[in-house]
Amino acid sequence: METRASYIMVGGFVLTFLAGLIAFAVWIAKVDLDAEYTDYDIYFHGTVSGLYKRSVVYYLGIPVGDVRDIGLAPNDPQKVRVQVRLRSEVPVTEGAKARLDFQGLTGVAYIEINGGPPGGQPIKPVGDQERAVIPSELSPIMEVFTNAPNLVNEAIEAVVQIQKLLDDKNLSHVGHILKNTDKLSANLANGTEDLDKLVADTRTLINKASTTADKLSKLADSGNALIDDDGKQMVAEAVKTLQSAQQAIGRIDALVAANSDNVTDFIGSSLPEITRMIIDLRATARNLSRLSKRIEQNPGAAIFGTPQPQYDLKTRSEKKEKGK
Amino acid sequence: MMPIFSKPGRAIGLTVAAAMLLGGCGPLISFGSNGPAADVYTLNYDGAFGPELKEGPLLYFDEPHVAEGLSGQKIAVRLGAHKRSTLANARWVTGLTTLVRDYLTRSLSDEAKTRAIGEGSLDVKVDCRLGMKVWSFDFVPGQKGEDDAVDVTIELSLIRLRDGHFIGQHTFVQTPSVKGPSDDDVMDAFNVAMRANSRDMAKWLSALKDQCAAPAG
Repeated sequence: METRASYIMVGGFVLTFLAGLIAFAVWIAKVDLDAEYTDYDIYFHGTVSGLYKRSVVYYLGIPVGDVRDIGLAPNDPQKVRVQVRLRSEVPVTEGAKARLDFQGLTGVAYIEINGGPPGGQPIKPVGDQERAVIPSELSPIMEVFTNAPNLVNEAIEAVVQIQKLLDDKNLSHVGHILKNTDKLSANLANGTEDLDKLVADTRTLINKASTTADKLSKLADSGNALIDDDGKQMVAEAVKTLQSAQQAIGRIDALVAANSDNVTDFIGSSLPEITRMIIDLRATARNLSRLSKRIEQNPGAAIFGTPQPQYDLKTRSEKKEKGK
Repeated sequence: MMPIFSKPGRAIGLTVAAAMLLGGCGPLISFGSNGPAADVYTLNYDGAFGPELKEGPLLYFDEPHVAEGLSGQKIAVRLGAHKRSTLANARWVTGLTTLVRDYLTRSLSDEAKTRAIGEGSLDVKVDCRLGMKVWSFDFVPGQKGEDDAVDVTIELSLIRLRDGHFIGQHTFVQTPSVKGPSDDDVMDAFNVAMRANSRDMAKWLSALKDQCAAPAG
């Protein structure tokens, strides 16, 4: 009797323990035993790197299911078919979109479903589809990842170009160019003064010539016997030409006056500032060059410094630096 | 359906990963040395601020170039002809270039009665650029405490920007002795040297500054 009673107690204890263990597992995993699920297919264009079976599916940020299967889409090797299982009460209606997203920068991927408009019809399998298909869209972070290689390449090219631009040879050339520009501008400014004088003299001369031509024209029109028909025509053309020339000189005069101000302003204000800016740029380029050499030779020392002995004024001797 | 044990497993994994990450980042995170905190010093011009002049040439004080080893916040120590070190438990409040430029911008505008501007003046039309080169800014310990001195050697160059004319250049040297055995005494000596150099620089600059406004050629 005692032996038999002991078996019953042991068996009962083991069964109770197992039942408790299963209940604990169900409790800790938060398994809904009575939950109902619906399967959907999502087709993504391109890679789904970071997404695995059991990855979580969110609906507006709420976890509502998980990924059941991942594989290539039939008849289209550029697409990936992801089968997801969602709770049946999740309203996946017409207009809902699924997209691949990432948690932080850890590379752990999940699927986020944005609901369709209120009152929409639940999506259903079409034709011979085994499961209903949720349309996918590219997430902003996926767009960044897609374009990032191009951006990085362009940035590298830009840095290379800047390095070429800022080398000592080019900076020296820029210095020469500015020096030459300075000389050219000074000459131009001086030349402008001469040109002003020349234009003024020319205008006086043309006025005199125009007056004379007018007199000749009047003389020709009067039918003076000394002027024949060819002479009339020649004088008329001369008058026309001189009047056109006077207008052209007037325009040149205005243009030179305007440019003279600009040139003077450029020489007076912009060139020295450009010179100072180039000096600053040269200093910056030199510092960057020095830093890059230090990093290249010893990255650790460039960041954390090198242990150096320090002079202690109290002991009047050098001591080794601590903590580095 | 949520996978069984996925959340506890993930939590444990994340905890282990975080611990490993923190452990791995340990060498990158510096909490400083265990020694005493360094005393922080500055150069302090004890004169007045420069007068608000309406006229006269405007000078741009360029950022000083410094000899190798002087560019940081550590205070240079010269041990012998070729050996260099830095002073323990003391440092400048900022880089030496900033300290020297700010000191001279203030002292020379006061003592030379000059319109001077320093950093952040690229959009201002100026007449001259004052270039600076700090050749030495060293504490020079002697054989005995009473032989200690500092050496402050600064070279100035004045350039007229309108035509790039090199107006003049001069090197100013001061080596006052250190009056006592402490870091404060060393810093006093540096300030004395800068004050004396500043007076000499003001005389030199006063004699040349009018050339900044002179016409080219």
